[in-house]
Amino acid sequence: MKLFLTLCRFELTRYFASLTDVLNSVAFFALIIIISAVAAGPTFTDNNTLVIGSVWTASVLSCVLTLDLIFNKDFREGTVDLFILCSVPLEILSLAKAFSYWLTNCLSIILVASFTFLLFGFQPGLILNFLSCISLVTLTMSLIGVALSALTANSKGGTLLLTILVFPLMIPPVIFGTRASLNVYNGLDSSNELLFLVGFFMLLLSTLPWASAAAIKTRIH
Amino acid sequence: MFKLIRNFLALESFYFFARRIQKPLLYFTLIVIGIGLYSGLFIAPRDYQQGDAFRIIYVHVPAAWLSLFVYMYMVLAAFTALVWKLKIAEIGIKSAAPIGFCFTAIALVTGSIWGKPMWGTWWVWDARLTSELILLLIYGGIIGIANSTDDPRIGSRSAAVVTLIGAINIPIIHYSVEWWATLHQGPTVSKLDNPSIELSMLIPLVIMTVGFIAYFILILMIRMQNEIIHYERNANWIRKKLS
Repeated sequence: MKLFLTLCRFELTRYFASLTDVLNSVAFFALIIIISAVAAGPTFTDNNTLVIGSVWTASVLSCVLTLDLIFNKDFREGTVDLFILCSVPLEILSLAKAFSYWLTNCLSIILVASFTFLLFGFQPGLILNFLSCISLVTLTMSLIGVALSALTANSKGGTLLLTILVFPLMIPPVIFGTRASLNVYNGLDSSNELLFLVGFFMLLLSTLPWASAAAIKTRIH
Repeated sequence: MFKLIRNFLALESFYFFARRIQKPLLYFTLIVIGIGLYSGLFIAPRDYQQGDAFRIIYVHVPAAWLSLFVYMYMVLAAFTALVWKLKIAEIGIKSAAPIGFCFTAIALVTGSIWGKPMWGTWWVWDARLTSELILLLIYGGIIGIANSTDDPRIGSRSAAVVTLIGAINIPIIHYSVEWWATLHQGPTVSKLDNPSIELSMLIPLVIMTVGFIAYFILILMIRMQNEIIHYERNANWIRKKLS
Protein backbone atom coordinates (compact mmCIF):
# COMPACT_ATOMS: atom_id res chain seq x y z
CA MET A 1 0.00 0.00 0.00
CA LYS A 2 2.83 2.36 0.92
CA LEU A 3 4.54 1.48 -2.34
CA PHE A 4 1.31 2.18 -4.22
CA LEU A 5 1.05 5.65 -2.67
CA THR A 6 4.70 6.44 -3.38
CA LEU A 7 4.29 5.40 -7.00
CA CYS A 8 1.13 7.48 -7.28
CA ARG A 9 2.96 10.51 -5.90
CA PHE A 10 5.72 9.97 -8.42
CA GLU A 11 3.26 9.70 -11.29
CA LEU A 12 1.25 12.72 -10.18
CA THR A 13 4.38 14.84 -9.95
CA ARG A 14 5.17 13.82 -13.48
CA TYR A 15 1.72 14.75 -14.74
CA PHE A 16 1.81 18.15 -13.04
CA ALA A 17 5.21 18.78 -14.56
CA SER A 18 3.58 18.51 -17.99
CA LEU A 19 0.32 20.26 -17.21
CA THR A 20 -0.14 21.40 -20.82
CA ASP A 21 -0.93 17.82 -21.88
CA VAL A 22 -3.80 17.69 -19.40
CA LEU A 23 -5.06 21.09 -20.52
CA ASN A 24 -4.79 19.99 -24.15
CA SER A 25 -7.21 17.13 -23.59
CA VAL A 26 -9.69 19.51 -21.95
CA ALA A 27 -9.41 21.83 -24.94
CA PHE A 28 -9.95 18.83 -27.20
CA PHE A 29 -13.12 17.99 -25.28
CA ALA A 30 -14.44 21.52 -25.78
CA LEU A 31 -13.60 21.34 -29.48
CA ILE A 32 -15.62 18.17 -30.00
CA ILE A 33 -18.65 19.72 -28.29
CA ILE A 34 -18.32 22.85 -30.41
CA ILE A 35 -17.94 20.85 -33.61
CA SER A 36 -21.00 18.70 -32.87
CA ALA A 37 -22.98 21.85 -32.11
CA VAL A 38 -21.83 23.43 -35.37
CA ALA A 39 -22.53 20.27 -37.35
CA ALA A 40 -26.00 19.78 -35.87
CA GLY A 41 -27.00 23.38 -36.47
CA PRO A 42 -28.64 25.93 -34.20
CA THR A 43 -31.24 23.42 -33.01
CA PHE A 44 -28.52 21.37 -31.30
CA THR A 45 -29.69 22.19 -27.78
CA ASP A 46 -33.32 21.37 -28.60
CA ASN A 47 -32.51 17.71 -29.06
CA ASN A 48 -31.38 16.60 -25.61
CA THR A 49 -30.62 13.00 -26.66
CA LEU A 50 -28.14 14.39 -29.14
CA VAL A 51 -26.52 16.58 -26.49
CA ILE A 52 -26.16 13.67 -24.08
CA GLY A 53 -24.66 11.54 -26.85
CA SER A 54 -22.17 14.23 -27.88
CA VAL A 55 -21.01 14.90 -24.33
CA TRP A 56 -20.46 11.17 -23.87
CA THR A 57 -18.61 10.89 -27.17
CA ALA A 58 -16.44 13.89 -26.37
CA SER A 59 -15.50 12.66 -22.90
CA VAL A 60 -14.64 9.13 -24.03
CA LEU A 61 -12.70 10.36 -27.06
CA SER A 62 -10.65 12.91 -25.20
CA CYS A 63 -9.81 10.38 -22.48
CA VAL A 64 -8.75 7.74 -25.01
CA LEU A 65 -6.60 10.07 -27.09
CA THR A 66 -4.32 10.95 -24.18
CA LEU A 67 -3.76 7.36 -23.09
CA ASP A 68 -0.28 7.35 -24.60
CA LEU A 69 0.76 9.81 -21.86
CA ILE A 70 0.75 6.90 -19.40
CA PHE A 71 4.02 5.46 -20.62
CA ASN A 72 5.03 8.71 -22.23
CA LYS A 73 8.80 8.47 -22.12
CA ASP A 74 9.20 5.71 -19.57
CA PHE A 75 10.55 3.10 -21.94
CA ARG A 76 12.89 5.44 -23.76
CA GLU A 77 14.30 7.05 -20.64
CA GLY A 78 14.74 3.73 -18.89
CA THR A 79 12.36 4.46 -16.01
CA VAL A 80 10.73 1.07 -16.48
CA ASP A 81 14.11 -0.66 -16.44
CA LEU A 82 14.86 1.04 -13.13
CA PHE A 83 11.53 -0.10 -11.70
CA ILE A 84 12.31 -3.66 -12.70
CA LEU A 85 15.85 -3.43 -11.31
CA CYS A 86 14.44 -2.24 -7.97
CA SER A 87 12.04 -5.23 -8.21
CA VAL A 88 8.94 -3.09 -7.92
CA PRO A 89 5.94 -5.42 -8.45
CA LEU A 90 4.69 -4.50 -11.91
CA GLU A 91 1.08 -5.19 -10.93
CA ILE A 92 1.20 -2.44 -8.31
CA LEU A 93 3.03 -0.17 -10.71
CA SER A 94 0.31 -0.56 -13.32
CA LEU A 95 -2.43 0.03 -10.75
CA ALA A 96 -0.69 3.20 -9.61
CA LYS A 97 -0.30 4.32 -13.20
CA ALA A 98 -3.98 3.71 -13.94
CA PHE A 99 -5.14 5.50 -10.81
CA SER A 100 -2.94 8.57 -11.24
CA TYR A 101 -3.84 8.82 -14.92
CA TRP A 102 -7.50 8.79 -13.94
CA LEU A 103 -6.91 11.35 -11.16
CA THR A 104 -5.39 13.88 -13.55
CA ASN A 105 -6.59 13.52 -17.13
CA CYS A 106 -9.92 11.75 -16.73
CA LEU A 107 -11.04 13.66 -13.68
CA SER A 108 -10.44 17.05 -15.29
CA ILE A 109 -12.43 15.98 -18.34
CA ILE A 110 -15.21 14.59 -16.15
CA LEU A 111 -15.51 17.88 -14.29
CA VAL A 112 -15.60 19.90 -17.49
CA ALA A 113 -18.19 17.49 -18.95
CA SER A 114 -20.47 17.84 -15.92
CA PHE A 115 -20.10 21.59 -16.17
CA THR A 116 -21.14 21.33 -19.83
CA PHE A 117 -24.29 19.47 -18.80
CA LEU A 118 -24.98 22.23 -16.31
CA LEU A 119 -24.55 24.84 -19.04
CA PHE A 120 -27.05 23.04 -21.25
CA GLY A 121 -29.51 23.15 -18.37
CA PHE A 122 -29.89 19.49 -17.39
CA GLN A 123 -31.32 18.56 -14.01
CA PRO A 124 -28.87 17.80 -11.15
CA GLY A 125 -30.01 14.17 -10.89
CA LEU A 126 -28.81 13.46 -14.39
CA ILE A 127 -25.49 15.15 -13.73
CA LEU A 128 -24.91 13.15 -10.54
CA ASN A 129 -25.75 9.95 -12.40
CA PHE A 130 -23.45 10.98 -15.25
CA LEU A 131 -20.66 11.69 -12.77
CA SER A 132 -20.82 8.21 -11.27
CA CYS A 133 -21.19 6.46 -14.64
CA ILE A 134 -18.40 8.30 -16.42
CA SER A 135 -16.11 7.82 -13.41
CA LEU A 136 -16.60 4.07 -13.60
CA VAL A 137 -16.19 4.05 -17.39
CA THR A 138 -12.99 6.07 -17.31
CA LEU A 139 -11.57 4.01 -14.42
CA THR A 140 -12.18 0.89 -16.50
CA MET A 141 -10.62 2.60 -19.47
CA SER A 142 -7.47 3.61 -17.63
CA LEU A 143 -7.01 -0.01 -16.51
CA ILE A 144 -7.27 -1.20 -20.12
CA GLY A 145 -5.17 1.76 -21.24
CA VAL A 146 -2.20 0.93 -19.02
CA ALA A 147 -1.90 -2.56 -20.50
CA LEU A 148 -2.33 -1.44 -24.09
CA SER A 149 -0.19 1.68 -23.90
CA ALA A 150 2.63 -0.39 -22.44
CA LEU A 151 2.33 -2.55 -25.55
CA THR A 152 2.26 0.32 -28.01
CA ALA A 153 4.87 2.55 -26.35
CA ASN A 154 7.84 3.16 -28.61
CA SER A 155 6.37 1.61 -31.71
CA LYS A 156 5.55 2.85 -35.18
CA GLY A 157 2.25 4.74 -35.22
CA GLY A 158 1.76 3.94 -31.54
CA THR A 159 -0.91 6.49 -30.67
CA LEU A 160 -3.25 5.59 -33.51
CA LEU A 161 -2.75 1.89 -32.87
CA LEU A 162 -3.54 2.41 -29.20
CA THR A 163 -6.81 4.14 -30.08
CA ILE A 164 -7.79 1.31 -32.44
CA LEU A 165 -7.02 -1.25 -29.74
CA VAL A 166 -8.86 0.52 -26.92
CA PHE A 167 -12.12 1.42 -28.66
CA PRO A 168 -13.51 -2.09 -29.27
CA LEU A 169 -12.86 -2.99 -25.65
CA MET A 170 -14.61 0.16 -24.46
CA ILE A 171 -17.90 -0.59 -26.17
CA PRO A 172 -19.71 -2.41 -23.31
CA PRO A 173 -19.14 0.27 -20.64
CA VAL A 174 -20.01 3.05 -23.09
CA ILE A 175 -23.26 1.30 -24.05
CA PHE A 176 -24.31 0.95 -20.43
CA GLY A 177 -23.13 4.41 -19.42
CA THR A 178 -25.11 6.19 -22.14
CA ARG A 179 -28.14 3.99 -21.41
CA ALA A 180 -27.98 5.11 -17.78
CA SER A 181 -27.91 8.81 -18.76
CA LEU A 182 -30.79 8.40 -21.22
CA ASN A 183 -32.81 6.43 -18.66
CA VAL A 184 -32.41 9.17 -16.07
CA TYR A 185 -33.30 11.74 -18.69
CA ASN A 186 -36.50 9.84 -19.50
CA GLY A 187 -37.31 9.47 -15.82
CA LEU A 188 -36.51 5.74 -15.62
CA ASP A 189 -34.49 3.71 -13.18
CA SER A 190 -30.79 3.31 -14.00
CA SER A 191 -29.48 1.14 -11.17
CA ASN A 192 -29.09 -1.92 -13.44
CA GLU A 193 -26.68 -0.07 -15.69
CA LEU A 194 -24.71 1.21 -12.72
CA LEU A 195 -24.47 -2.32 -11.33
CA PHE A 196 -23.17 -3.56 -14.66
CA LEU A 197 -20.55 -0.82 -14.77
CA VAL A 198 -19.39 -1.65 -11.24
CA GLY A 199 -19.25 -5.35 -12.11
CA PHE A 200 -17.28 -4.76 -15.29
CA PHE A 201 -14.86 -2.52 -13.44
CA MET A 202 -14.37 -5.15 -10.74
CA LEU A 203 -13.76 -7.86 -13.33
CA LEU A 204 -11.08 -5.80 -15.04
CA LEU A 205 -9.60 -4.66 -11.72
CA SER A 206 -9.06 -8.27 -10.79
CA THR A 207 -7.60 -9.40 -14.12
CA LEU A 208 -5.95 -6.54 -15.95
CA PRO A 209 -3.06 -5.64 -13.59
CA TRP A 210 -1.59 -9.05 -14.40
CA ALA A 211 -2.08 -8.49 -18.09
CA SER A 212 -0.38 -5.09 -17.76
CA ALA A 213 2.56 -6.67 -15.94
CA ALA A 214 2.87 -9.23 -18.74
CA ALA A 215 2.68 -6.41 -21.26
CA ILE A 216 5.47 -4.44 -19.60
CA LYS A 217 7.65 -7.55 -19.41
CA THR A 218 6.98 -8.30 -23.07
CA ARG A 219 8.26 -4.91 -24.10
CA ILE A 220 11.32 -4.76 -21.91
CA HIS A 221 13.51 -7.49 -23.44
CA MET B 1 6.06 -37.62 -24.18
CA PHE B 2 6.60 -33.96 -23.36
CA LYS B 3 10.00 -34.08 -25.03
CA LEU B 4 8.44 -35.63 -28.11
CA ILE B 5 5.93 -32.78 -28.42
CA ARG B 6 8.65 -30.26 -27.74
CA ASN B 7 10.81 -31.69 -30.53
CA PHE B 8 7.90 -31.70 -32.92
CA LEU B 9 7.16 -28.06 -32.13
CA ALA B 10 10.74 -26.94 -32.68
CA LEU B 11 10.79 -24.51 -35.57
CA GLU B 12 12.93 -26.64 -37.86
CA SER B 13 10.90 -29.84 -37.66
CA PHE B 14 7.65 -27.93 -37.82
CA TYR B 15 8.81 -26.18 -40.97
CA PHE B 16 9.44 -29.45 -42.74
CA PHE B 17 6.22 -30.94 -41.39
CA ALA B 18 4.24 -27.97 -42.74
CA ARG B 19 5.98 -28.28 -46.07
CA ARG B 20 5.17 -31.97 -46.30
CA ILE B 21 1.47 -31.69 -45.55
CA GLN B 22 0.98 -28.61 -47.69
CA LYS B 23 0.22 -30.43 -50.93
CA PRO B 24 -2.15 -33.12 -49.60
CA LEU B 25 -3.95 -30.40 -47.67
CA LEU B 26 -4.32 -28.33 -50.83
CA TYR B 27 -5.94 -31.25 -52.71
CA PHE B 28 -8.18 -32.06 -49.75
CA THR B 29 -9.32 -28.41 -49.53
CA LEU B 30 -10.02 -28.18 -53.25
CA ILE B 31 -12.00 -31.41 -53.31
CA VAL B 32 -14.07 -30.66 -50.20
CA ILE B 33 -14.87 -27.09 -51.22
CA GLY B 34 -15.69 -28.33 -54.72
CA ILE B 35 -18.11 -30.92 -53.41
CA GLY B 36 -19.60 -28.43 -50.97
CA LEU B 37 -20.09 -25.76 -53.64
CA TYR B 38 -21.62 -28.21 -56.10
CA SER B 39 -24.05 -29.66 -53.60
CA GLY B 40 -24.83 -26.24 -52.21
CA LEU B 41 -25.41 -24.54 -55.54
CA PHE B 42 -27.10 -27.36 -57.49
CA ILE B 43 -28.32 -30.19 -55.24
CA ALA B 44 -29.75 -28.31 -52.25
CA PRO B 45 -33.41 -27.35 -52.76
CA ARG B 46 -34.53 -23.77 -53.35
CA ASP B 47 -35.71 -21.85 -50.34
CA TYR B 48 -39.48 -21.35 -50.46
CA GLN B 49 -39.20 -17.67 -49.58
CA GLN B 50 -35.74 -16.54 -50.65
CA GLY B 51 -35.45 -18.61 -53.81
CA ASP B 52 -31.93 -19.17 -55.06
CA ALA B 53 -30.60 -16.11 -53.23
CA PHE B 54 -30.31 -18.04 -50.00
CA ARG B 55 -27.41 -20.04 -51.48
CA ILE B 56 -24.98 -17.34 -50.33
CA ILE B 57 -25.40 -19.02 -46.95
CA TYR B 58 -22.78 -21.56 -48.07
CA VAL B 59 -20.12 -18.87 -48.03
CA HIS B 60 -21.51 -16.52 -45.43
CA VAL B 61 -22.15 -18.86 -42.53
CA PRO B 62 -18.88 -20.87 -42.72
CA ALA B 63 -16.94 -17.59 -42.90
CA ALA B 64 -18.76 -16.24 -39.84
CA TRP B 65 -18.16 -19.47 -37.92
CA LEU B 66 -14.51 -19.49 -38.93
CA SER B 67 -14.07 -15.88 -37.78
CA LEU B 68 -14.85 -17.03 -34.23
CA PHE B 69 -13.06 -20.35 -34.60
CA VAL B 70 -9.84 -18.59 -35.62
CA TYR B 71 -10.10 -16.33 -32.59
CA MET B 72 -10.53 -19.32 -30.29
CA TYR B 73 -7.48 -20.91 -31.86
CA MET B 74 -5.56 -17.66 -31.32
CA VAL B 75 -6.53 -17.50 -27.65
CA LEU B 76 -5.22 -21.03 -27.20
CA ALA B 77 -2.00 -20.15 -29.01
CA ALA B 78 -1.62 -16.92 -27.02
CA PHE B 79 -1.98 -18.79 -23.76
CA THR B 80 0.64 -21.30 -24.88
CA ALA B 81 2.95 -18.54 -26.07
CA LEU B 82 2.80 -16.63 -22.79
CA VAL B 83 2.91 -19.59 -20.40
CA TRP B 84 5.36 -21.98 -22.07
CA LYS B 85 7.08 -19.35 -24.20
CA LEU B 86 6.91 -21.56 -27.29
CA LYS B 87 8.14 -19.75 -30.37
CA ILE B 88 5.87 -21.74 -32.64
CA ALA B 89 2.80 -20.49 -30.75
CA GLU B 90 3.91 -16.87 -31.19
CA ILE B 91 4.31 -17.52 -34.90
CA GLY B 92 0.89 -19.19 -34.91
CA ILE B 93 -0.83 -16.04 -33.58
CA LYS B 94 0.93 -13.68 -35.91
CA SER B 95 0.12 -15.82 -38.95
CA ALA B 96 -3.50 -16.50 -38.01
CA ALA B 97 -4.60 -12.90 -37.33
CA PRO B 98 -4.76 -11.76 -41.00
CA ILE B 99 -6.66 -14.94 -41.94
CA GLY B 100 -9.21 -14.31 -39.21
CA PHE B 101 -9.48 -10.71 -40.37
CA CYS B 102 -10.26 -11.89 -43.91
CA PHE B 103 -12.89 -14.38 -42.75
CA THR B 104 -14.58 -11.67 -40.69
CA ALA B 105 -14.49 -9.28 -43.65
CA ILE B 106 -15.94 -11.97 -45.95
CA ALA B 107 -18.72 -12.67 -43.45
CA LEU B 108 -19.56 -8.95 -43.25
CA VAL B 109 -19.45 -8.35 -47.02
CA THR B 110 -21.46 -11.42 -47.99
CA GLY B 111 -23.83 -10.58 -45.16
CA SER B 112 -24.58 -7.15 -46.54
CA ILE B 113 -24.87 -8.52 -50.09
CA TRP B 114 -27.43 -10.93 -48.69
CA GLY B 115 -29.08 -8.28 -46.56
CA LYS B 116 -29.74 -5.88 -49.43
CA PRO B 117 -32.39 -8.00 -51.23
CA MET B 118 -33.73 -9.73 -48.08
CA TRP B 119 -33.89 -6.96 -45.50
CA GLY B 120 -33.85 -4.08 -47.99
CA THR B 121 -30.71 -2.51 -46.58
CA TRP B 122 -26.97 -3.08 -46.67
CA TRP B 123 -26.48 -2.58 -42.98
CA VAL B 124 -28.49 -2.70 -39.77
CA TRP B 125 -27.18 -2.07 -36.29
CA ASP B 126 -28.17 -5.58 -35.37
CA ALA B 127 -26.39 -7.27 -32.48
CA ARG B 128 -24.73 -9.94 -34.60
CA LEU B 129 -23.53 -7.50 -37.22
CA THR B 130 -22.19 -5.05 -34.69
CA SER B 131 -20.27 -7.63 -32.70
CA GLU B 132 -18.81 -9.02 -35.92
CA LEU B 133 -17.69 -5.51 -36.84
CA ILE B 134 -16.05 -5.09 -33.44
CA LEU B 135 -14.33 -8.43 -33.94
CA LEU B 136 -12.98 -7.09 -37.22
CA LEU B 137 -11.56 -4.07 -35.38
CA ILE B 138 -9.95 -6.29 -32.75
CA TYR B 139 -8.33 -8.40 -35.49
CA GLY B 140 -7.09 -5.16 -37.08
CA GLY B 141 -5.54 -4.07 -33.81
CA ILE B 142 -3.83 -7.42 -33.34
CA ILE B 143 -2.38 -7.30 -36.86
CA GLY B 144 -1.24 -3.73 -36.26
CA ILE B 145 0.52 -4.50 -33.02
CA ALA B 146 2.12 -7.68 -34.36
CA ASN B 147 3.80 -5.61 -37.06
CA SER B 148 4.60 -2.56 -34.93
CA THR B 149 8.15 -3.48 -33.97
CA ASP B 150 11.33 -4.37 -35.76
CA ASP B 151 11.88 -7.37 -33.53
CA PRO B 152 9.28 -9.96 -34.64
CA ARG B 153 9.32 -11.74 -31.27
CA ILE B 154 8.28 -8.64 -29.30
CA GLY B 155 5.54 -7.91 -31.83
CA SER B 156 4.10 -11.43 -31.66
CA ARG B 157 4.18 -11.55 -27.89
CA SER B 158 2.43 -8.17 -27.67
CA ALA B 159 -0.18 -9.59 -30.03
CA ALA B 160 -0.57 -12.53 -27.64
CA VAL B 161 -1.28 -10.19 -24.71
CA VAL B 162 -3.83 -8.24 -26.77
CA THR B 163 -5.50 -11.49 -27.84
CA LEU B 164 -5.93 -12.56 -24.23
CA ILE B 165 -7.29 -9.16 -23.13
CA GLY B 166 -9.73 -9.35 -26.05
CA ALA B 167 -10.76 -12.85 -25.00
CA ILE B 168 -11.95 -11.54 -21.61
CA ASN B 169 -13.98 -8.91 -23.41
CA ILE B 170 -15.49 -10.65 -26.42
CA PRO B 171 -18.34 -12.47 -24.63
CA ILE B 172 -19.19 -9.28 -22.71
CA ILE B 173 -19.13 -7.24 -25.90
CA HIS B 174 -21.40 -9.78 -27.57
CA TYR B 175 -24.02 -9.78 -24.81
CA SER B 176 -23.96 -6.05 -24.17
CA VAL B 177 -24.35 -5.30 -27.87
CA GLU B 178 -27.23 -7.75 -28.01
CA TRP B 179 -28.89 -6.02 -25.09
CA TRP B 180 -28.32 -2.59 -26.60
CA ALA B 181 -29.57 -3.57 -30.05
CA THR B 182 -32.68 -5.35 -28.83
CA LEU B 183 -33.60 -2.38 -26.68
CA HIS B 184 -33.02 0.05 -29.51
CA GLN B 185 -34.35 -1.83 -32.47
CA GLY B 186 -37.23 -3.96 -31.51
CA PRO B 187 -37.41 -7.19 -33.52
CA THR B 188 -34.21 -8.18 -35.27
CA VAL B 189 -33.68 -10.73 -37.98
CA SER B 190 -31.40 -13.49 -36.92
CA LYS B 191 -30.69 -16.26 -39.32
CA LEU B 192 -29.10 -18.91 -37.18
CA ASP B 193 -31.78 -18.92 -34.54
CA ASN B 194 -34.15 -20.71 -36.90
CA PRO B 195 -35.11 -23.76 -34.89
CA SER B 196 -34.53 -26.16 -37.75
CA ILE B 197 -32.84 -26.14 -41.09
CA GLU B 198 -33.75 -28.75 -43.67
CA LEU B 199 -31.26 -31.63 -43.70
CA SER B 200 -30.63 -31.38 -47.43
CA MET B 201 -29.64 -27.75 -46.90
CA LEU B 202 -27.58 -28.49 -43.81
CA ILE B 203 -25.31 -31.16 -45.30
CA PRO B 204 -23.68 -28.84 -47.90
CA LEU B 205 -23.22 -26.29 -45.12
CA VAL B 206 -21.32 -28.80 -43.00
CA ILE B 207 -19.20 -29.85 -45.99
CA MET B 208 -18.40 -26.21 -46.72
CA THR B 209 -17.41 -25.60 -43.11
CA VAL B 210 -15.04 -28.55 -43.18
CA GLY B 211 -13.61 -27.18 -46.42
CA PHE B 212 -13.17 -23.72 -44.88
CA ILE B 213 -11.38 -25.17 -41.86
CA ALA B 214 -9.07 -27.13 -44.16
CA TYR B 215 -8.46 -23.95 -46.13
CA PHE B 216 -7.64 -22.09 -42.90
CA ILE B 217 -5.11 -24.74 -41.89
CA LEU B 218 -3.59 -24.70 -45.38
CA ILE B 219 -3.09 -20.93 -45.42
CA LEU B 220 -1.89 -21.03 -41.82
CA MET B 221 0.76 -23.61 -42.73
CA ILE B 222 2.00 -21.53 -45.66
CA ARG B 223 2.11 -18.33 -43.62
CA MET B 224 3.84 -20.07 -40.74
CA GLN B 225 6.54 -21.38 -43.05
CA ASN B 226 7.30 -17.85 -44.21
CA GLU B 227 7.28 -16.55 -40.66
CA ILE B 228 9.61 -19.34 -39.52
CA ILE B 229 12.05 -18.37 -42.24
CA HIS B 230 11.86 -14.78 -41.03
CA TYR B 231 12.41 -15.80 -37.40
CA GLU B 232 15.29 -18.14 -38.14
CA ARG B 233 16.91 -16.19 -40.94
CA ASN B 234 20.28 -16.43 -39.19
CA ALA B 235 20.06 -20.12 -38.33
CA ASN B 236 22.23 -22.64 -40.06
CA TRP B 237 19.53 -24.95 -41.39
CA ILE B 238 17.74 -22.08 -43.12
CA ARG B 239 20.97 -20.92 -44.74
CA LYS B 240 21.62 -24.44 -45.95
CA LYS B 241 18.11 -24.64 -47.28
CA LEU B 242 18.24 -21.34 -49.09
CA SER B 243 21.70 -21.72 -50.61
